Amino acid sequence: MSFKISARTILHLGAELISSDGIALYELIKNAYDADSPNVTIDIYVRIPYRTQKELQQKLLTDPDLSELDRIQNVEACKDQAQKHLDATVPGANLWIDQINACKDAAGLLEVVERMNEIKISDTGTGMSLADLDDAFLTVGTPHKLTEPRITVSKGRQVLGEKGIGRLSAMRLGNSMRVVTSKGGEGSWNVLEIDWDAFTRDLDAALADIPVSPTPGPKKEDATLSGTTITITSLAHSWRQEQATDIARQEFAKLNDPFEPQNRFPIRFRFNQGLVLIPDLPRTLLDYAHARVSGSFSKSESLGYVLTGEMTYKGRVKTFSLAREDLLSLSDVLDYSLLEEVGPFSFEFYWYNRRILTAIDGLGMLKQVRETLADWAGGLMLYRDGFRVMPYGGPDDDWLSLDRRALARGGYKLNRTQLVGRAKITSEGNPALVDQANREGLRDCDEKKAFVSMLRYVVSEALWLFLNQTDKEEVRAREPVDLSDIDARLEQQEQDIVRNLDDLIRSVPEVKKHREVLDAIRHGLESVREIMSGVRRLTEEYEQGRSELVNLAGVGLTVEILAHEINRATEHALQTLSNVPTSQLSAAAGRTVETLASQLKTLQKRLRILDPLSTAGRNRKEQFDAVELVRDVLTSHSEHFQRERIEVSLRVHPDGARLHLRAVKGMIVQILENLISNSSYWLRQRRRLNPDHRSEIVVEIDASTREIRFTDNGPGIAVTDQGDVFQAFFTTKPAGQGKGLGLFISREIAKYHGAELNLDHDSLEDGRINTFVLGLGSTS
Amino acid sequence: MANALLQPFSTHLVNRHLSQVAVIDDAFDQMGETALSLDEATEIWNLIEFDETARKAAVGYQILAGSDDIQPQRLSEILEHEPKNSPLRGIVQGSEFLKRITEGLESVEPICQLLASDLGLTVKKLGSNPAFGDLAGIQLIFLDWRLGLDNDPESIDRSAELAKKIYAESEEANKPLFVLMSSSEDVVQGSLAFRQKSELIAGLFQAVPKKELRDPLRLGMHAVALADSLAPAHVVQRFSDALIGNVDQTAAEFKEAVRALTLSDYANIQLLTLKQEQQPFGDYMSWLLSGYLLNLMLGPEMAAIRAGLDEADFQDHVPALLEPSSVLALMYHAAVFDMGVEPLLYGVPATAGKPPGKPTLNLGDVFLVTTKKKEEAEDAADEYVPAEAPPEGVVAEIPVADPQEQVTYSVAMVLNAQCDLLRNVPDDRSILLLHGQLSPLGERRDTGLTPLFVHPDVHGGQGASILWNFKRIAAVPYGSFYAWETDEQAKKKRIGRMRQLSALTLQKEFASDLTRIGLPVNPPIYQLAEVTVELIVNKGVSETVLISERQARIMPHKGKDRCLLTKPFVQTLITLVERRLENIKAGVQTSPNLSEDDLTNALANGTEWLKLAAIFEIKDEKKFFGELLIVVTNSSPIKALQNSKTILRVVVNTQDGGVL
Repeated sequence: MSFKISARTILHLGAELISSDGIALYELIKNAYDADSPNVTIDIYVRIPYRTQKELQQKLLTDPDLSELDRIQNVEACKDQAQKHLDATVPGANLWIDQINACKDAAGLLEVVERMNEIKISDTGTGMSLADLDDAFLTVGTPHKLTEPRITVSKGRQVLGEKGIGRLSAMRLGNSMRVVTSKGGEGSWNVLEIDWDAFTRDLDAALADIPVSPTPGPKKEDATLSGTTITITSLAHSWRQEQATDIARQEFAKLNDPFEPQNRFPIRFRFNQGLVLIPDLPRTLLDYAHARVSGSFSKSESLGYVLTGEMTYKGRVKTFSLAREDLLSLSDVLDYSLLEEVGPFSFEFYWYNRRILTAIDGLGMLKQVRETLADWAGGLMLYRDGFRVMPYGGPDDDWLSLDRRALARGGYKLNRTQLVGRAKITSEGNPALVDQANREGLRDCDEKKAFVSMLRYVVSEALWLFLNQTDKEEVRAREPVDLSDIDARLEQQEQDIVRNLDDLIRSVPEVKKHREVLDAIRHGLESVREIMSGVRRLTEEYEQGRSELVNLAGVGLTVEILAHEINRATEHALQTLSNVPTSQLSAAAGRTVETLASQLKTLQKRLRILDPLSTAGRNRKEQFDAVELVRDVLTSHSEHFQRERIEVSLRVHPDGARLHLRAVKGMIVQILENLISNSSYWLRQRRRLNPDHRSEIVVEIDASTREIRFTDNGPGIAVTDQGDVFQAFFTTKPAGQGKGLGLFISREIAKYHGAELNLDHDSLEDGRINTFVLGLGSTS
Repeated sequence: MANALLQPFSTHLVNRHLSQVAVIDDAFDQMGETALSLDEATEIWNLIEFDETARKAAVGYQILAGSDDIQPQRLSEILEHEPKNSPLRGIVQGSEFLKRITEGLESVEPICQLLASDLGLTVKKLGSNPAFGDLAGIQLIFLDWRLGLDNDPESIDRSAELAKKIYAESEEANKPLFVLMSSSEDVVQGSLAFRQKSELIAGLFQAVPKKELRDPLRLGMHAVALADSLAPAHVVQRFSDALIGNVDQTAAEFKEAVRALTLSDYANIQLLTLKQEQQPFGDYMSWLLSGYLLNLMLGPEMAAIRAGLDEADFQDHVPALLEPSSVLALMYHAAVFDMGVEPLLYGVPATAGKPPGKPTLNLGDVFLVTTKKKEEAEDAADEYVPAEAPPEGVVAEIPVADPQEQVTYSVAMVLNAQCDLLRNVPDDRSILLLHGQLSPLGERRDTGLTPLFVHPDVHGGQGASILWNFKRIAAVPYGSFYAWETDEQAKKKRIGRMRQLSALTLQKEFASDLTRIGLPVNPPIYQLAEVTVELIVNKGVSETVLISERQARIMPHKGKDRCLLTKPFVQTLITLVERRLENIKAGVQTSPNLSEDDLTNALANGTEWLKLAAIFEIKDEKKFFGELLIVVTNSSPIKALQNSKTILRVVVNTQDGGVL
């Protein structure tokens, strides 16, 4: 037994699989490239309106049913109609009139009418012999291409075709296809004609039942000529100049890596013989980008794969370098080996703040600059061996979910319309990243997910944070003085004025006569003082608002943690219940209640610890022993640590000492909870990389220096990120898992108590820091 | 033939000493300096990239990897160095870029040709960055409206900048006029923006589509019109430059002077001069200061330039921009009326049952009189019967008011000498008030002594003429002025004051037995007219082909009308004559009285076209080209035209004139 393939199957592989004309043409262009042709010419001819053509075809097909006389009349009427609607502006129109007139019968005229609208793709590549046509061209899913070397013979090109179904995409464009081809040295052309309709006429026909055979064609004028011309007629739809222009701008222009213009595969694209322009990416546009990022994912000897890059914005340059746990975390892959299987890639992209775009010399006025940007923007395009992987970075595609992230963030910063860029892969280096059969992007697999998440991280996280930081710093730079500066300066000036006035009165006593002037000046000073105290009041209100905001955010985080815990407990409880065999219900019920009770106990314990976090208790400062608090918090997590296989130790210096604080208890708990939560996350990443890893957390309390040091043996924090970790929204966790607010809020809480939360530089090892220090200073 | 046609124009130009013109157009730029559009560059790059041979050759011109590399200078080098059969050369030669350059030249070369051969002028062709040395002594410059790409708004700015620079750099005695030319018809609308950017006064340039300049007759007309304006335009620009240049200096001096006035100066003026005579202080100060300001602004330092303006002679040709600008109307109104006057103030306020005392009045105080329509008037529909017989020359009293409101407006002006109006004069002193009717602008020919008066209540703020009725004077006892002002049937409200010179003129006019004081001549109050062109097809059957507003201006002048047709309108008439000639040639139309030659001769008769384009006097009708074209006013009876050669009759209809 074997599969029997129906003739119609061919349709599923061609016309139905390919979703757009652009992709269909793209497949045929790739074939020309693989044939080592220096270029390809695509001609679209619309000599007669599509509707008229269809009408004529219909009339001419009914011909056999007519009487002799009617036939003659029918043919004549059709000839007239064809001539009348022939577009006389298309070069060579006269020849077509001759052809129409020369027709003797309906069949002849039908043949001419069908050819009037056509798409021609021609190249001067290696071409095919009769045998090639038979063996290779007519064998679907070509072993041909897989058996031959993946590098072309004369030009050494990386072969693009991989499935051997590209030629079937011609079906999408029209019902009839005529291939004229020849190898250099052959005496004549070889012709293959296919009528795709034939494959669908008989529903039961098997593929092998439809005869298709190449035949020798006309003699070649010059035997050395080689190449292939595919002519498609009975077009699937009507074509207009604007459609051609759109395809040229949106698809052909981006077919090759626009950042390497010298490698572009030349396409001559004509509509009714008029050249359709295929723009290239103006380098001036890139020069005017507001931010730029370039980087790569490549293997280093010591660290394995590293995601590195450089970002430039407003004259500031920032580099990033992510390896191992960082990569594991941000890509959220199951297994580190998957990252290795993604293989090396590089990327380069440019960000535009569309609001501050200006006219650009060479590109024109703002409107043109906007249009040019719109043409090229759309997120990151993807190129394999210099050829585009459709449709990534296209108008309707958001493969990196950039718009969704931008929308969620407000300000709509870093959406696709602001980005021009590309990522580069190769078929050799990234064998796991393969196209879907419909050429609509990469096939879904874990490697693709990892690839996408790394690129998304660079755009949506790394660049986003860098832009925001730089903007914030700029604002800070623009407001050089803080309120206390102004206050001091104002006071100084007040004193100066009063002194000067006194001097004046002393040296020019006449001034005294003008009491009103002096009074006016004094009055002026007073009102300045009043205004200043108003400002001070405002500032206090602002500070108050700020601490409230921090409280609120803290509550939010706490609720999240709680929810997580409750959820986990409930899950466990449910699982326990579901394991109870029905027959022993009564006996089991007791045990279940026991389990539930123990779960509830845990929950209650947690709730008790977190109780001070409730808003009512939050703002009340009280006196307490930090050692005891830390111990309580750690104990409440004991089950959690056990589950995560983390060994925790608490060391107090000097032994048995107490560390008295006056603080809002709930807030200090908040900081500790945050540090614990971060550590367990990163320790988990480390264990993913190395399952034998013995995870440890050490908390040291030094009563003499009033410091709490929190250390784990996880991956630590890269020195390059040390400034960023305390920034709001900084995170290297995958999307949805971290808000990047924990450390920011913890530091705010510390500040609120006059304490400090910092990284401990003494723990720096291999460029990474593993210890946080909470300096409690004067909080007694 | 062409030469003969333009002979009168050519002679005219010689008489005006115009022998040299320059044509500045980016079509004359070196290829390497011509702007290249993105699409043009892309086209060339697409073709080079496709052709392996061309691509290799292009490397030699630094064209390596994209449309960024396609630059005009490099293309120019390609044409210079590449052999005849080189594909690269072929690509450049066939490109849209080169096509555009060629088309540009084709649009401007014929103009140069006509200027040189037909009008006998020396023509200098210059690119978009001309050397100023090349422009020395040239008085007429044909300037491309867009120096650069058509879709680039900057190319318009570039042209305005250049005009400004050329004007500034050229010698005082030889400042040029500009013809702003363009392949686009939008150039005419664009001229306002050009004026603002170039800071030239509107009359110093004229915007004309190139298409029009390629037509000999029309080119001749433009050249002559500009040549006529050359001398006066310079005087005017010099005057306005000097005046504008004077503003800052004047402002500074004026500020200084006002600051220098001490408190005691103010006190002296009020205490010593005014209080006794009860003259309002504010009024007096504004009179004093405005006089001083005027003297600073237009005083002795401007004398020489003013004298120059006196000599300006427009020789019956109103230059380029025909329509009087609205600014002129504003200026005129401000010169005659001070509208910043408060409603009347009475010396002693009214108390219960007792009317207030005497108000402070001034010569020239203008009151708006709101008369309630009488009941009968409503029955008599629109007709308003005046209470008294209308004075001579006034056809009928025209109510100027909103018919909805059932009121009519008129005005009354105080005629007493200033000294009669002090508040210490006896209560029985008569205050003389001259009555004036308000007539909507454009409704009548005789606009009277005050042709323009604007008030928001009157005629919807559109303006009116005041027809003073010297036979209708009210005499109100000073002590009863309040009663007159508040009369229920005809309420009055002071709304303005006629400035002294104008008010005195009316006063003297009233006292007609005394020597007259000449009113400063009114600015040209044209009536904008609607023109209707009737095409006389055959045997007097006419067909109205064109009705255009604002295409003619009528000025009453010594019993006759002076008429001026706009230049664009005359161009239209040329077109109509041309069309008739074509029709006759094609046999579409026949005219028994008219031969082909009649029309050909008319089209070749430059002198007559010039007459038609200049100001001409008209009484009922005026014939041109024999009887071929007749201009008639709407007041003249339409005559039968059976046997005439007339093919066009232009009816100038003043019924619906507008504000200036």
